[in-house]
Amino acid sequence: MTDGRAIQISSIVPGGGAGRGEGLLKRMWSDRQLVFAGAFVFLELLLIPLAPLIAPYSPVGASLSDKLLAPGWQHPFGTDSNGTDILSRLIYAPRVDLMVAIAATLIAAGVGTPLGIVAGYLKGALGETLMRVGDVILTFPVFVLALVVVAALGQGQVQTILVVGFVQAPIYLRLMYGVSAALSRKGFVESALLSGASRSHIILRHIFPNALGPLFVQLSITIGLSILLVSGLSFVGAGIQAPTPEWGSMIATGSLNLGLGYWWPSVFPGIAIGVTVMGFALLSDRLSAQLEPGDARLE
Amino acid sequence: MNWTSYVLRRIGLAFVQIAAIWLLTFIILRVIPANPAYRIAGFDVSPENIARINAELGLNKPIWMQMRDYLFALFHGDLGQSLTTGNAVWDDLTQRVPATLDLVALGLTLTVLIAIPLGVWAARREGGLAQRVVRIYSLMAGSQPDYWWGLALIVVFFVSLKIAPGPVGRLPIGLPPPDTITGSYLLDSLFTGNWVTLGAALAQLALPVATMVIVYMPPILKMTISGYRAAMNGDSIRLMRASGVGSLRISMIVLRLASPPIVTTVGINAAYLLGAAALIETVFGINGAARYAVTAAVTTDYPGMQGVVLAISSLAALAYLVTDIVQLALDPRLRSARE
Repeated sequence: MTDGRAIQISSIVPGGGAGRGEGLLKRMWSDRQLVFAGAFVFLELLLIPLAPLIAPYSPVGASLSDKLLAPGWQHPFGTDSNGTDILSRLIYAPRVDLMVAIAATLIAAGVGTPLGIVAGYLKGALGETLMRVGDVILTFPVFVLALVVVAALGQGQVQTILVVGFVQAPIYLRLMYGVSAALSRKGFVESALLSGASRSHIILRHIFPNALGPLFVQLSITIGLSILLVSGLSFVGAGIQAPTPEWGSMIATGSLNLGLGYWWPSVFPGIAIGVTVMGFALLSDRLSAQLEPGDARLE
Repeated sequence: MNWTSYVLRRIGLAFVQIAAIWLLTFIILRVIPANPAYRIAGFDVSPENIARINAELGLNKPIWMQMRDYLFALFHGDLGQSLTTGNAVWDDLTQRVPATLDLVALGLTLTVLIAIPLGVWAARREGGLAQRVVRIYSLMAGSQPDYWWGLALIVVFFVSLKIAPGPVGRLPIGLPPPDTITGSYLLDSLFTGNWVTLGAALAQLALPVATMVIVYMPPILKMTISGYRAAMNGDSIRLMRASGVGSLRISMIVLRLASPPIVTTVGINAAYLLGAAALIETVFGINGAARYAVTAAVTTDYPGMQGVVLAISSLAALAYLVTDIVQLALDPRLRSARE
């Protein structure tokens, strides 16, 4: 009980942390970059349900007479080699890219977090083995590992979710193992143990709530990485296939006409990926600055 | 301190890593049910035909027997036959691994050679401007996909300005590869004094390597800046500065103090790039090992996949091994801790 300071105990008593929570929200609200990134990500998520209302044209409709039109009044971002409006495809693409990336991230976190927390708290031989397996996976080039799972599962939206979820689960395993092992040495956990709390009570009520900060930061980082991975797999033809509006495969299809000077079918989807990933990166950067204030970061 | 025993133990660990990845991919490819027999069978998916193909591929045997057969063949340099190219996987890989290595080695070397001086320069600047520029650049470079940067460079330097060669692979069309010694076009043309081929191969690599430098420099750059700044404020450095040691000399000492995390970042990047090369190879039409993995994945080519995973995991393990040994050479504290 060397570290049983009042503030740490109050933060884990249900209801007792309200004051701290309010202060945190206020602090987060005054971080302009955080608010901007949060709003941007929120607006982009809104595209998922609202795409049919916003998109000016059909995202799959083909019209050969309109093919490869340069950006202009009719088609702000031009049309692709099928004569489909690129802006409309970009607006529909978050339904695939964001949904797949978020679903994959939730699977990765859903598998890795509980395993990591339990292994970090109990520190048994099984947990150690699990961590070694996770470490081996993390040292292997992630894109090739994803391709191995594609070879086994095949291609498609559901498969891509599973592929990306699988290769990222070890990230959460490793992170939560460390967080949980560190928390289990803290005074408030030791005092709960001394007062007779069960292991499951300690894990659920003391360790898990305090692991949420790092978890949220990691979620926001991994969604950005997932988007890059999903679109990358689709770009090389190992993810989501062509008629579906998806940024990576749009870039790939567009690249076929790049040599003839038709730059817009490839350039705009890339920018869409870029601003999306940047939004999530900025969000995670500011979130970690706010949630882990002791962490010295490169500014 | 016993270098030999540490290095030997570390090499042992590398083999354990390779074996673990091999085991993992073997299990993933065998247990999950995308059966290559269906792809080979084409229209004739009758149970008899599928069973016949499975027997031919050895997929009807228990998994431990398949593993045993695979390892036995491996020790004879036989990685099986690719279901896609029809060649021996070993032959395919000896063609393609050097292409990936040329790209990654040159890309990583240039990245380090640019990132470290740039990082030191930015770290030494007072005021936050240089670092804010680095932060914005990192955010942009890391968010835009690498293959998109590759295409953008093609549009600008090949299509518009016409000063870079087109994305047609390792050599311009019609130019024969140099006599094979190592398989690396750069090294082979250098060794045989084939300057025309060397120049052409380097020109073909200019845009892919530039893509790598742009996209993968930020982590090394950031690590250099933060490490250098931390080391610069150490007591010993302040003492040196106070006693009038030259600033270039101090820079070198600070850089050396800051180097362990930079070396680690470079090592991690090397391993990562072996996979990310797949995207850059696809954009620039390079038939490398990473792109071979893509083909193997989309065509359910089990033997091809297994072979390329073995090759890439060996290279990744080698990258980590070299990182750890360099680390040990750089940091005396690690050495004394091992005594």
